[in-house]
Amino acid sequence: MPKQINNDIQPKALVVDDSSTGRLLLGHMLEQLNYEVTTAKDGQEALDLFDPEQTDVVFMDVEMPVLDGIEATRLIRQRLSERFIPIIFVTAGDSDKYLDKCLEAGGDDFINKPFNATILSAKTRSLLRLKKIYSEQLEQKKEIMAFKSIEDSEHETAAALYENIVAAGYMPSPNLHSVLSPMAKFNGDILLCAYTPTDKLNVLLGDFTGHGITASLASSPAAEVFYGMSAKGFGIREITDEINNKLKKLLPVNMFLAATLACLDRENHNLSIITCGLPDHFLFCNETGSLQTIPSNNLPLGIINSSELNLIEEHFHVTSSQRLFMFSDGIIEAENETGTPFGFNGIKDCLRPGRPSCFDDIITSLNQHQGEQGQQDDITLVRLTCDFSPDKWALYQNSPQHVEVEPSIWTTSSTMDHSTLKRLNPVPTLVNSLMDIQGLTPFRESIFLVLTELFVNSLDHGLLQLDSSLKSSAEGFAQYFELKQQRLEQLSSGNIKFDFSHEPYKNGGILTIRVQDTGNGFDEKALVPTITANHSFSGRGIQLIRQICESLHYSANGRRSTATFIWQQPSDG
Amino acid sequence: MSISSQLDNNTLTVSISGQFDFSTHKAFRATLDSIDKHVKHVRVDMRTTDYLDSSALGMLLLLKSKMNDQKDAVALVNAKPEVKKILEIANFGQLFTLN
Repeated sequence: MPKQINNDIQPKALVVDDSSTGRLLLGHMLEQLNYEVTTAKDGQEALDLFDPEQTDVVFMDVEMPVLDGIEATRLIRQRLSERFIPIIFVTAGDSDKYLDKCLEAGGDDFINKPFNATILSAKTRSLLRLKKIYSEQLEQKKEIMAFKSIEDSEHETAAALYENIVAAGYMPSPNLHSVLSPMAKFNGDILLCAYTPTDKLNVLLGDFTGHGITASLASSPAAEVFYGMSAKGFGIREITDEINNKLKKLLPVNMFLAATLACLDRENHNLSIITCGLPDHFLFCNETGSLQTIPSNNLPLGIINSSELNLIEEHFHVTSSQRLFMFSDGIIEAENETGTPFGFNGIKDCLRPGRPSCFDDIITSLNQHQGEQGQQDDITLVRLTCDFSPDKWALYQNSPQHVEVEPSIWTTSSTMDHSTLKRLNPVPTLVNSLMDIQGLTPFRESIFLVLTELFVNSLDHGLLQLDSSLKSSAEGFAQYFELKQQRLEQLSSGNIKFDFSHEPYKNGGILTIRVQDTGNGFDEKALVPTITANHSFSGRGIQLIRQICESLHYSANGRRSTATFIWQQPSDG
Repeated sequence: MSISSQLDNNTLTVSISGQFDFSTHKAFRATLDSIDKHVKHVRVDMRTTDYLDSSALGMLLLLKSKMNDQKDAVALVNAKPEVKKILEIANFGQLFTLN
């Protein structure tokens, strides 16, 4: 007969019996099996003596004075709550009638008098094994609960972090409609939106690998770059490059940001998109029902260096009936009861002309698809409406502020050579330096607009020799941008020089901006108003500069443009 | 999910069955650790891969990094159309040999 039950510790038994012979006999047999034995003469004494730390198994007689075995068992079980200590009922031949009650009260097994040592040994061993497994499980359960509560609080922290990071610079736009479920946010989906100084609308939809805290932390630098650069008027290409740069330095090898950056340009009715690893987007016209698929054609961000990225930017000429639908993979993969994913077709089926809201249709259809089996709430859906009506724009114009810097006399100039122009749009940097010198922040948007227009004309028509009549058709429009990119990459000579001079004038000053290029010159009168001129909203271009500026004239065969901008302190009140 | 690998001369073939996602992480890491300097090429055989998520894409990037970012050092082969679609969305053809 095996003497040792537990290699480490001597097991402890509590024997409860009102008969001293019974206690003695069972106690002796258990001691033979290497148990340390404590005895009690009735249920009450058993309860008084019972210490869960000092008991591995209880032998309980059924009929006893003061408190019987069944009631004592019930009370012991209550005291143990989740813990498990085996209780074996000691029964004589006539106690079969109690069996049910014994089990109900929490008994685990029975042993009949007279005792058989082999059966006693086998039963106690198997129950002790059960106790061991049970307490290990309880321990694990506690660990899991503790872990879960840490994780829950991390979820909360991540969600709060995310909210703050993203909300910090978010400029709501009536053109942007979105659903981002809490689970999607937790999974690292981000949506950023901002207007630029020239009233373009920049949008970023992203999906980080990893989730929770990790993704929230990584979304912080991405959001900072996006909002900071949008406010300074950088284009989505430069913003994408910079986000990629930051993330490449920051993220571990196996993490990246799949993202799409879109820019809606009110002036040209142009939608530019850079797609980096998100599922196909759809450009849908709710008037004609035409549906264009826009697949991802760049690497996700944060994987390779920006210098190797060679971003492909696409340009679409859009009308107010067109909407760009973007989503991350959660919605595509959402499964129904039979495991079929919602898929691209689930979305396409909802994109039909003349429906009041295809967006709502997609959500409704998705809910129906997922049915009763519990919604997977990892849903991100974004709709960018290409609506150019004036009430959707100019929402964030600053109220006039005072120019704090005393108007003074100064000049400054910069020259950008062809290789600088390839990698840099100089306008934001130049405008920032003007703001620093003369504190012209209240006029930032106007100055930005003027300088952008003069610079773009110099670059496109001066150095790159692009024909603006291309832009008069929708197909030519995309071709124009393609050609521009191509010629810019091939540009091997030439430069553009910027001269700024300022002097006090009345209650403000005069800023003269001169932009001169080394190209072949062009006839500014040949600049065809962009196709948008046919619409109710006329192209802003040169006409707008003429409105903003005191004067604008071209000289040296169109190679030099000079604009004078007069500013006055806003009247108080 | 299961990962098995076989070394033939300088080429290590790694076969991934079923779902290639975060649950594969540990096994994939072990495979990465087994790569020594004698391995010149890795073929990731996706014949029996059913699904790929973004953490799997991350693991492939780790593999590429382990092979010193040589473009032709890692080939992703035999992917089913739905798996290939995921690789294409991520434009991983720029980083790996796909066929």
